[in-house]
Order: sequence, then structure tokens, then C-alpha cells
Amino acid sequence: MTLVISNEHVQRVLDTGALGAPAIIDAIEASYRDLAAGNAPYAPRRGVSVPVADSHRHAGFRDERFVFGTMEGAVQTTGYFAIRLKLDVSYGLEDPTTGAKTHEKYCMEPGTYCGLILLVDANTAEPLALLNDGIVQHLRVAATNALAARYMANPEAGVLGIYGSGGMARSHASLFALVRPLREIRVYSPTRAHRELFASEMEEELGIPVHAVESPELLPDGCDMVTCCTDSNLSVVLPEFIRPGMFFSSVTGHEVADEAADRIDAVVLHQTIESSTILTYAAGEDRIGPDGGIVPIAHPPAAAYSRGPRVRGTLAQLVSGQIPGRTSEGEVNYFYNNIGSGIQFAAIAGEAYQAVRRAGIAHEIPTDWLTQKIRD
Amino acid sequence: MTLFLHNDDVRQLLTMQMTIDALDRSYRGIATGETVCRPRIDIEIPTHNPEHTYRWGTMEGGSSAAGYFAIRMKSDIIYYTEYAGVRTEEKFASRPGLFCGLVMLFDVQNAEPLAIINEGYLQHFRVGADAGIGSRYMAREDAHVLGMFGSGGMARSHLEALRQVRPIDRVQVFSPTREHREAYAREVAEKYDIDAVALDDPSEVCRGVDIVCECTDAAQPVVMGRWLEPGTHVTNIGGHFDSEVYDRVDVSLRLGTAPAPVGLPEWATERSSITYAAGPGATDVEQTTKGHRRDGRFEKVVALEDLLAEREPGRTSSAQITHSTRGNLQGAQFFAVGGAVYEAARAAGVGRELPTEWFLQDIRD
Repeated sequence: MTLVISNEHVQRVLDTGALGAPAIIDAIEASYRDLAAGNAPYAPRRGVSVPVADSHRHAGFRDERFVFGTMEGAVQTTGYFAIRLKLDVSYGLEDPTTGAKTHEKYCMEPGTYCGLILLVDANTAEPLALLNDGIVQHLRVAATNALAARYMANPEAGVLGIYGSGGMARSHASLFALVRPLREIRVYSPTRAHRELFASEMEEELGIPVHAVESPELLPDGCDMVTCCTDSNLSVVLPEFIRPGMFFSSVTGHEVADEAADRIDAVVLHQTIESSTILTYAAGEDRIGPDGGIVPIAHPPAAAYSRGPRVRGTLAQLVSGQIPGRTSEGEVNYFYNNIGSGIQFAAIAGEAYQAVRRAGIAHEIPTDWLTQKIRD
Repeated sequence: MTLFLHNDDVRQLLTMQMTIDALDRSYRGIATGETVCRPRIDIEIPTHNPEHTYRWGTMEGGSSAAGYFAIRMKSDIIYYTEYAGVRTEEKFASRPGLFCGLVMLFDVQNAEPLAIINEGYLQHFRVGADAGIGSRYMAREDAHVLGMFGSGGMARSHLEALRQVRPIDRVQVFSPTREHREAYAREVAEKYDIDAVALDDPSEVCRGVDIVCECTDAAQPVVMGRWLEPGTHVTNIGGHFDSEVYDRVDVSLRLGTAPAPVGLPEWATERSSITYAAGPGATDVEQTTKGHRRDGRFEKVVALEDLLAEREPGRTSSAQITHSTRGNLQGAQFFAVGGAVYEAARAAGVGRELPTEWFLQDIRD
């Protein structure tokens, strides 16, 4: 049987401990070791977009486009291949009073989205599972940042600051707790109710004090590590927030301000800039607006963190011992998570699949439906 | 509900005429920029079995006028065998005898996942249809005799497609296994009430024919240039030609080329696929598995876009040897044909239904 695994199924195995943080971090680490050894191929991310027909457009939605994003990769050690498909109608909104522009998306109706992972056994080519990508997506980003922290943060780093209080921030708190002996978490997000809920829930989950702070500049006080889990279009980490010995990580390319670069001693990239290219194929190119669907899937890498003497190398080089993580207690370093890759999905979805299968909780469809006797 | 369509469903719904019409519209859309697709991308990785390689391949595209977008996904274990001196690529998924190829179809206007379709039957139709479309534009009007290399599903869909565009009344076929080629000849003779002969010698396939189709999975050339007669039109599924074929073809029609990514003209490619591979020998994977496909180039290539706009002629005399090939528009095929199958399935009430909410979520990344 091929499993159809929902976000609720993945959450359940996380809650019961059947899918544990150590397995997640180990899987992601193994995949970067494979990558360093040339055993984890992945293809550049792609987006293919098609304008929504005029007859189906919504008033006030700018440049509505169907955007189909894919990334895939395989990890030889674990024997999993995964492709992640992300597909939504993407559009720009502008607040009529403030003029603030945001990028929005939906699948079928506002509030629902579509992100799927097809997991395959790379030793037999058998389709194992189709997963909603929501939680796996958070875990793969968080696990990657936590893995970087394992190599780059000070060994005694005990205070973690998190910008953001959504699902991504929760995954970061749980996984960072595994790689460093956390004794406190500080959190800031713009909505008081959200950050306070995060603080109370994570305090209970992790059994350490979690403080919600009132303003962004208060967050870094006393922090050894700061990770950004926001969808902000503006920089979050400003130069004056930086103290000696800190480790930084982020989920987008612009959360750490370019102006902060002078205060950062060393940068490790998730992937080389050459392999970070996103290929965007579009129909009706004359209709691509500056606020439209194309822009968000093609952020150029920040020049301040992608080249120059402070850039040490990549995460794969780091975990395989080719470059150092930290050279002194006072060093300020930054893991620049410049773009994701398909091997992260192969690693995390593989672990989630095993746990969900053991728990026997997923939907099933006969694998026969997905295989065929006709050869091409 | 999201529809699941098995090959048996597709078989009762899809006709070659539907396929040719859907593809012709899609290719015209590529010419105007209304259809978009990207080149095929493959990932290859060694498996526990040193003889086996895992290969994943995808292609995708869509159009707002058609209203559909599709990704086609192939998941195969690849290995090689030799039979009668011919090296053949073999594959399976899950276990020998099974294969995995899926099309996922979406609604461009609201991103709804509409259908998951086994692509085996559709795949043969769309490849056959390309030979039909190419022959429609390039073969002699009076072409009626077909020489066929191969006797599998592709050989069947090619004949079906060619009969839509030319009055084919005789087929001569060769494939390495006598039993297969004879079964093919018997089957098509009866099905179409035409003359069909199985040949023991591949060099005789091209003799006295108007159209030659290469429909094999050989890993080396099967069509030799010296065999081709004046006036012939040639199609192929893998490019299994010796170098003389490239010399002898006067003009080749290319149905289209996938556009370059936005802002990255250096990523434009005419290649039929881009492969990312891991493991030993990864760097020369193109040479080991597909290198033969890039050996030759035709001297004169005409794009369908230019032919349709009458900027360039196709065949200019009945003595010319012509050729046609799809180019790298695979991604523009599956939304077009998949959409046609989906509409037919909905109209006929065919297929199994899966809850669409299985594919949706409330987590935005």
C-alpha cells in the first residue's frame, strides 16, 4: 500500500515521540554527508507559472498566477527519493490605506494551500507515500538550521532567541533544544497573543523558561543563538543586535540585514550560490508584475553573505569536516540558509513515513494504482 | 473529489484524434507564448544493486487558455541487457514487470488538484501523435507504406497516429524477437485490414516505404542511413540513427523548443533532458546511457512555428528525405492530453474518486 499522510498524521507521531528529534537531525546530517560525498543528487528548484485567465480573476488581486514549484533529491544512505510539489494561485495585495504590499496565495480558496511530497524507495522505484508538506517543510528547515547550530554555535550556548512564533518557530525551538543545552528561549513576534501563546506552549513542551519580549530589539539580550522564522519582507536582525560569540540562522535570505555583515565574522551557506539558481518558466511573460507570483520564488542571494572572505563554504563541507564551524568563542557566525533543496525532503519525509507507517494511522491507496504494466 | 484514472480508464476514453488535436493546439500555444513548459529533468542515483540505477524524471507545463497544468513523473530502476547483440535499456518499478509513470493534473484557475492518471497509455499516444503531427507536415501526400522498427506499444500507437494523417495500407516491421514482430504484423493486419509483414532482416524495413518509424528501446543505432530511399519521411522515439542518417536527411522538422527560464537565457536548452546524477561515473552519465542521442545533428532544421508562419518551407520535393521530431516540448503534452482525458472521464463518469482534502492543507509555508 502507498500511504497518504496528512499533516495531522505527522503531528501525531511527533506528539507521541514516535518521530523523535534525534532521528530527524540524524537523517538530515546523513543527507549532507552524502551530499559532500557526491551521493545525494538534487536538481535546481523550478517554478512554472501560468496566468489565471481574465475570466477567473478576483478584483483587487494583482497578477494572479498559477505557480507550480518543484524540488527533488535523493539520499543514497537512506535510500529515499522525494519530490516536493508546491502549487497555488499566487497574487499580490496592496493595503489601500498604508500602501503596504504583501504576497498571498491559495489553493481552491483562501486559507487552503497545496504542498505535497511524493516519497519513493530509490532501491526499487516504488512510490511509498504522498505527504502533505506543511509540517515536514517546517522540520526540514528547522533541522537544517539546528544542524548548522550543532557545528557553529558555542558548545555551551544556552539561550536561544527566535523571531517568529508560528509552526516554523516551534520546530526550531524543539530541534535547537536537541543540539545545545538550552536553558532559556526568548521569542518575539509582532502579535502579542501569538508570542505569548508560543511562550506558554513551548515552556510546557520543553520544560525550560520561554520569555515573550515586547519589542524586537529586546530579543537578543543574553542570547547565544538567534534564529529567524518570519515571513517578513524587512530585515529582522539589525547590526546593533549583534554581540560577540553569537550564532545566527534564518529561513529567508533577507532576515539578517545586509548592513549587519560587517559585524559577522564567518558565513556558512546552505548551498553554493551556483546551485541556488531557481529556474522560473512562465507563460504570458508580459503579464509578470513586480509584485506578482514570480518574484517570491526567485530572490537573488544577498551579495553581503554569498561571497567574499567571510564565506567559509557550505553545510555539506561543514558536516564532512572540510571547513571549521567556529574558530573562537567570540566569533560571530551566520548560517545563511540561502535556498532549500530536495534532499531535505528525502531525509525528513523518509523519517516521517517510517514513524507513520509503524503507527498505522495513514490513509492508504493500493500501490497498484500508482504502478502500471505498460512500459514506455 | 480528485479523480484517479487507471490505464484501463484512459484506454476507453482517449482516441488518437483527441491526442493529435490537443497536442497541435498546445504546440501552437508554445509558438505564441501562451503555453509554457520546461525541459525534462532527471535525477539518477546508484542503488544497493550495482547493476541498477534509480532514475526519476519529470516534465511539466500548462496553459491558461486550456485551463490545465500537469506534471508527468517517472520512477524507474534502470539496467541493461543484451539480446542478439543489441544492448537494451530495461526498467521496472516496485518489481519486474511493473512500471511507474504518473500524471498529476491541476486547474490553472484555482490550483485544484483534479486528477492522478496512470500515463502508460497516454504516453504511447502522445509519442505516436508527435510522429503523426510531424508526418502530417512533412511526409509526401501520397505516402501509404510504413517501415517500422520495433513491435511494442509505441509501434502500435505510431501506426494508429500515422493512419490519422496518411492512408497507410502496408506495414513492414522488424524487431529482434521473431515472435513479437510476427504478433505485431498479425495484429495490425487484422485490426486495420491492411497488408503487414514481419521481416527477419532489419535492412529490408526501409525498402519501398514512404515513412520509417523507429520505435525501439535499443541503446545503439538501429536505423542506418544507407537503407533510406529518396522521398522517405523518418521519425524516431530515441534517435537511434547511425551518423549517415544525419547526412542523408534533407530537412528535419522540430515541433518546438521549451522556452528559457525568465531572466536566465543561458539556461535555454534544446536538449531533451537535463540529468543530475550521483555516484561513480556520474559525470559521464550522458555518455553511458544517452550519449548516442546526441551524436548527430541535422544540417537543416525547420521549427514548426516558422513552418506555420510560412517563414520557412518544409518538404520542397517528393525526392527529399525528411525527418520530424518533437524537440523538448514533453512538458507541453501532458496537460493537453491529460486535460482531454479528464474531461472525457468526467463526462462519462469514469474513474475512482479520492477526497481532494487529502491533498490540501491549512499550513502555509
